[in-house]
Amino acid sequence: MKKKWVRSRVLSQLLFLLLFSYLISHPLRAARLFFAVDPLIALTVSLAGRVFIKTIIISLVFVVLTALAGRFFCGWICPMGTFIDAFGYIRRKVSRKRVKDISPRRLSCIKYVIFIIVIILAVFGIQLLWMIDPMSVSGRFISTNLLPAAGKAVENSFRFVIQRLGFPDIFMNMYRWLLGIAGGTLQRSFNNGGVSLAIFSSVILTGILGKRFWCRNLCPLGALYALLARFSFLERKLDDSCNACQVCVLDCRMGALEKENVIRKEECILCMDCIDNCTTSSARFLFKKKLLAPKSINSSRRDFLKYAGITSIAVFTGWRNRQRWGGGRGIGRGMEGVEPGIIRPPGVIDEPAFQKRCIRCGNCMNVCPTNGLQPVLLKAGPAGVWTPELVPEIGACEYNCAACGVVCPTGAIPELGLEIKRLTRLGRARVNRSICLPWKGETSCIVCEEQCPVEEKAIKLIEEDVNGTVFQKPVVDKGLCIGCGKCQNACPARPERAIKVYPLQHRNRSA
Amino acid sequence: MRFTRREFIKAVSVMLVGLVAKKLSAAERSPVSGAVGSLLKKGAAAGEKKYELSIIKGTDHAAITRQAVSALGGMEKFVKKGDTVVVKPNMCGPHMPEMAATTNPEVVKEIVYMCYEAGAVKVKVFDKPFRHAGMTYKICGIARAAKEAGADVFFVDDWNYVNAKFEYDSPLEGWPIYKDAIEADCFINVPILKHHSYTGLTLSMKNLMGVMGGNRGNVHWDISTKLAHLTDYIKPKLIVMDATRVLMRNGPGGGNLEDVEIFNTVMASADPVLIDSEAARLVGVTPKKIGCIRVAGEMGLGKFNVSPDLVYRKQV
Repeated sequence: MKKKWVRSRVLSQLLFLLLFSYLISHPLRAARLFFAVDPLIALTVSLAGRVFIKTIIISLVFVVLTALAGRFFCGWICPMGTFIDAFGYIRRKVSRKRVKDISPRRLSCIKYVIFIIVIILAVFGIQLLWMIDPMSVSGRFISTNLLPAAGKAVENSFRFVIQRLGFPDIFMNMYRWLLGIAGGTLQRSFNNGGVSLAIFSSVILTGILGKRFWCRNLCPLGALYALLARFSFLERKLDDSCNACQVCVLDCRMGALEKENVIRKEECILCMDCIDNCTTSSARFLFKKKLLAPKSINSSRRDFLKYAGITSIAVFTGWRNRQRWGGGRGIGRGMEGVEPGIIRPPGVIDEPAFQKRCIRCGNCMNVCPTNGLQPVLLKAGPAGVWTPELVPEIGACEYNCAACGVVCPTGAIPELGLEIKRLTRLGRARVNRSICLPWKGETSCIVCEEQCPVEEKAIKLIEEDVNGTVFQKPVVDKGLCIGCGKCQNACPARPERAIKVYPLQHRNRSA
Repeated sequence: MRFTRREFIKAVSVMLVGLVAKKLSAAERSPVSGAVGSLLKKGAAAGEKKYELSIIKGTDHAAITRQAVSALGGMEKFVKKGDTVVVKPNMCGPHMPEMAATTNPEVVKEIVYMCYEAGAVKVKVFDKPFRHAGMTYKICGIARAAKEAGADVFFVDDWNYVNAKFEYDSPLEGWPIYKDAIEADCFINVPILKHHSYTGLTLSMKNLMGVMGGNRGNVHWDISTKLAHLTDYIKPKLIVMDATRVLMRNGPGGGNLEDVEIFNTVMASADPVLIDSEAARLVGVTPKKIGCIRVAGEMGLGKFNVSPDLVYRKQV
């Protein structure tokens, strides 16, 4: 039998996964796309950060579409769903004995509990969605685990073929062509990538408990879509040829079929298995002719909606946009003093607001051309796990780049134009005169001054005569330094660099 | 589909004519054109004399580049038929050509053309920028210009190196040097003349740092000796110095148009010390005050000065 519906669904899943991977690794606004269509991210971040993020409007399109057609997103688009289906496919191919594929139906209410917890925490200003949102989990995995590993594998296999097996010419050209596409380097690595991998693998490994266990029972985005899909117009219809063989009921990966003709629309993800696997070809999906009011609304759900409505009104009356940017002067110019801590991406000045808005999708780190943006573990406190920081010793903030703000889906990193970003302070450099070679009078070295990308040079050299030898000693011009970290990156002093960037003191630092 | 003999001959001859026409049109961009043209020009412009250094001024940067090389005896003197050539411009960071931090793309492009005209099979153009490589290649305009001329432009990876070996004691003993730079039959150094806070000026010897791997920050310790030894190790056959736009302050990155002065000059020589000295004099710096020139001259890598009749000067 031809499986044309299932085939097109799988094709769509793979294409969207490719598109997703492609978009998040390019410094384009479209990198936000998949996160923008996730209404849960928009809702939670808006609640937690007390801001209105514009992507809410795009996500409304998907709210409406889901309300019309059901959870097509989960079945046809969601990259996490694709990974889960792929894992299930491999598991079924590998395991000899027939494994139990369908988890009990009553577990499916867990996801509503998770959803409610996420929303309530967001109302209180705590954003924990980043750990479990399927877009965040899969985006982060692709950005900081999959793509770096693939780059490393490609690089090493070429290296092996060229250096060990001795096929220099053809493979060298091929390698250089790839390197050109990758923009100069295939080697990227991320600190604490294990956190991302651990979360992703836990989600994937729920697949052992049954087909789409995560999507049926745990996914908070799935819960939101389930609430909407309950009223959707797309109906599964059977014609008279149905012989009640129960194949569809037993095989449904979402457990959405109670009987062959009774479907729980909130669980159906339109995977089309029941259409293509039908022994008598009697099932199809049709749109309902007219809007049918739901027969009964569960009173607890009505209570929940009431509660959510009231709380959100309360929150939204105290609406305030915390991140306000003044004119064209660049950000952080008024800040004085330095402190040890975290150097945030350019334009991030309000630390608590940043932690609430950042969904740890990994877009900024993936797009950072120097690999300098790295996830922190506990440096930023428990609420700041896996947020990005600039690690100048790995890579400095490139003067000609403002990509992190462009790809950030929630505006946690503001989108600054290149002109403003060049004036924006991330921190300030300080010379450690007890390590710096010319200050110690050991040897001449002007690497920090040479590398400083600021046009007027934020590092000045003062000439001093030490026992007949003239040494050029670097000093930082506090007015010009933007804290990009290029000096620290290039400083030849080891093990500790003689010039380091320290973050700016934030004005509202209290959590 | 089958060819008759006549059709085959027709097709081949059309292709040949096309190829020749393309070659000619490529050579026609410059007043002094093509393999034939440059042979003629060699006799006409430079007479029968052998010049050691040429300094050409003019606003057509491609033309003055060609004349500068022609005055030394033409590119055929340096590039033999079948050679693999490395053209090493200065691509230090993502700066627009107008900012004078990177070599003028027109100069690089013309040199690539001349290499092919002289019979090179492959011309490679690369550098290891100290800022982001992908952006640098794109913004400085050299990648595009060189590709248009048919060069192989690629990024430097961090493992394709060989360790330098010296017959004398050198601080660079064992230093990783990019393999393609060493294996090339002909290495043409195309630096830009600009200010540098440490060496005073960035000249041809400083430009060679682009083929070094390892911790390049450490090169700055005892940089004069290291640069001189590096020049001796690489042994560039020809140096074409771009002084069309010169960054006078805040080098090597720059970024302010006020710091750039227009000199409209291109120099060429096979002698690294001579061309660096002359470039220094051009911007009013005493050559021997620049460490690497002094050390290289004392090592015998070249002359600080030659008699004026060995210098070909021309205003176009």
